[in-house]
Amino acid sequence: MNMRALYLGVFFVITPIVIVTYKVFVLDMPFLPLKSTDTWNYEVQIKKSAVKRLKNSLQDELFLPVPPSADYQTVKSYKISPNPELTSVYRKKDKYLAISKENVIINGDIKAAAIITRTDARKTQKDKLSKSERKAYLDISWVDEQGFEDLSKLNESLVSPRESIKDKINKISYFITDEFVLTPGDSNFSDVVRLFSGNSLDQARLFTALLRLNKIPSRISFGTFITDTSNKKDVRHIRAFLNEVYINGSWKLFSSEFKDLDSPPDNFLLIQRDIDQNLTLLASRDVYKITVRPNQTVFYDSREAVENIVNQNNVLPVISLYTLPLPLQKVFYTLLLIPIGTLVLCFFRNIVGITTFGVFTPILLSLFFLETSLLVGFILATIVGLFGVALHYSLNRLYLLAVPRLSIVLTFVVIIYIVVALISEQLGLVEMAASVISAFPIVIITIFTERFVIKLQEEGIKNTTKAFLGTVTVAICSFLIFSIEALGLAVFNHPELLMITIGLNIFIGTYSGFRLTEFFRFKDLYINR
Amino acid sequence: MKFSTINDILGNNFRIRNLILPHNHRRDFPLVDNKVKTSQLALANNIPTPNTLLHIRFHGEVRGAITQLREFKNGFVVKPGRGSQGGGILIVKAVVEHGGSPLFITSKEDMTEYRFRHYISGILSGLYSLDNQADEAIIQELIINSPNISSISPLGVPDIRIIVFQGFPIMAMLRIPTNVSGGKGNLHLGAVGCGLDLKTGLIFHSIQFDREVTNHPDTRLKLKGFQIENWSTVLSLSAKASLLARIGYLGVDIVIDKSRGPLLLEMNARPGLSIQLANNRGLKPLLKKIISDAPLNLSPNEKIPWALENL
Repeated sequence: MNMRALYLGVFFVITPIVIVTYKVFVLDMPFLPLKSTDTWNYEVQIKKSAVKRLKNSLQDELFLPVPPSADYQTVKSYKISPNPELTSVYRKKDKYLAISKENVIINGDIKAAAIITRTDARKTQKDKLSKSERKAYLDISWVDEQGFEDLSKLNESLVSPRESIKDKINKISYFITDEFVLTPGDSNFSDVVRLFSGNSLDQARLFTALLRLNKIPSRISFGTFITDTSNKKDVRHIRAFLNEVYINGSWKLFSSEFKDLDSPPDNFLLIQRDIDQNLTLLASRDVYKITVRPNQTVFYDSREAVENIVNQNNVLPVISLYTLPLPLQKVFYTLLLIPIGTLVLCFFRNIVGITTFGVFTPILLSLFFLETSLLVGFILATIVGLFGVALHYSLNRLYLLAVPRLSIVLTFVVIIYIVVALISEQLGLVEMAASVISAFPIVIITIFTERFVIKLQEEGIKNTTKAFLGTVTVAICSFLIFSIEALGLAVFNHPELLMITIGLNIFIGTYSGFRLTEFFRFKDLYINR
Repeated sequence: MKFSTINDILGNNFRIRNLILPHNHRRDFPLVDNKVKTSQLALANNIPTPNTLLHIRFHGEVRGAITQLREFKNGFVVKPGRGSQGGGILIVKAVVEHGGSPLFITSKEDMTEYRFRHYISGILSGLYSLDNQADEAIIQELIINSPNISSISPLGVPDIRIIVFQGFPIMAMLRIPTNVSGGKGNLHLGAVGCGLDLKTGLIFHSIQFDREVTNHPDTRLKLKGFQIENWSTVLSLSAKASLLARIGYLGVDIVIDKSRGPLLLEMNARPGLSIQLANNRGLKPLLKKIISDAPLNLSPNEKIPWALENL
């Protein structure tokens, strides 16, 4: 083997491995990007039996805990079934959904479903408090006398009146986070104050009471933490009461469950804000059955994490594709797969010895399969292929010049797309319809249809079938490799890994031994003597 | 007969990496890839080659060309200038007048003027060219088999492929068209490949579709022992051609015409590997021998005797 090529190949393989090893083990960067679910299907159900039970005890309305839009989440859509009159469901003060008592239908379950997208909060919504609102959010009249006394003592031990609001909030929240012990069951509020223990609602109440005592407006809200999404049908989540504090003209969420005290983690969904004192039944599982299911998962490598690592370790800025806007990231995700595909192609052509139609047709095909799905892609490619062949033969009689004929075939292919898209939309085959959008690679395949026909005419079925099967084999193999999500993500996370494909291509390129198929082709020369 | 082991066989990767890339320079490719250039070069150097009757470069010339071609009643051959593996070659056996317009009787079908013009347009558009770029069409005189050759290849004109490495002819075969190959000389289409003894021009082994055959599949004629006429002329023609082409590892294709004798048909800078099967031996030992033992300063005329003596 050529030594220069050998060294170069080894260099290209080793270097990225060294870089990535350094990144992962020394800089502590993740090898694969972290995955996060950004869209959730939320559903709350009140069983028929519970509805009946509730209606009698209701004061004037039934609350439906359907998440509101907030700084960290956007509600894309919600629907309520059975669908009562629109007027009977209202969002009260933009906080929660309610159905007035007389409109509650007892003869069935009530269901509300919503699709919620989690977003990074960049801006906080300003919310001006009116005098009466301010008064309401400072009200602690619900605390009994004994409780108030204990509360004041506790407060004195925690904060001094001269401290800034920020310090007060910090001290109180650290106290709640560190000292409060969550216990199941209901307890008397004064016990809660004395023992620093109680359920989630008690915790939130204590926090609110302490803040209000310090003249900081606050309220109790309700949400859920998704803890385990491994079983997609039964995602585990923990409901919790938490607090919103009014600081600098806007409401901020506080929870002892948050890692960063005042910013909600990705697995948190806010379900209801500003809970009335009488809404304790939100905590009860036998009234509201809440289910959460992941709807769409995205991968991300938070930009800040990368920047932090760079700052901490004083290394040169790490190249990260995550600094690009999202649509561009998607393009690059696909683009980065191409070198992997060509590597597979090189292997099949030069080591195995398979013939294909055109050099890059298989890669285009497999990208197309990836964009759609193997089955849909295959069906569509077959339709286009067969159509191309049929059209070729029918146009043959017109004796058209080659390039205009090709444009006619292409035009017809575009028309086929329109037809396929319309029909599949009509039939409700959404996947099929959507795949047509990403059909661009298949347009290129039309050109190869032309070569297919010529090969068929010149070299007969046998040789054409061989090349066709070779093309499909390589396409399916690289599709299968493309489907390994971890591979694509690893390359996306560490683009330098692409150097490995250069190195491996150098090795394949210097290989001058036999192709596997040649052992069969030349077998008469070395066997049976 | 010499026996081959697997290490003697020349594989595709080795051919490209160790023969074509180092010995065949890209700048010299057009001379052999383009039949027009090959033909002009041969003419200029007094190497016998089929006569070029017409040379069509542009779509606008097609109509005029057909008017001229009408007159070649005895037939001609249409070839793409830069075709690969025999693609796009059309043999016109005769031109007859049919109701005031010419009818081209080809080996495939009878073509009307309209159909024939379309065919040439296809060539010009690059349908058959190596890189699918616009191409030229070249019209050459029809080769007619000598009676001797005709006896072994009644279906069409066979050609002799000689591998010339650095000016030394090292291996030769005869490619006989069959019904399966559609009258073409391409081995992968089903033409019969016959290994030729380099010293004598005698067929000693034959294959079809990479596997041994003893008789012509259509005529059942025995192939072994057939003698190619004017063998020494064929060999010297191949050596002369390789000198012109400046391609180190070259395939030279020669046909034998009834009246003109051996003619240089075309050259190939990427000659295939099946010649090994036709000769029942691998090429590698021969190439190695040339590289290690061949005297450097031999004149072209001395290279043939050296090759015959030592290979």
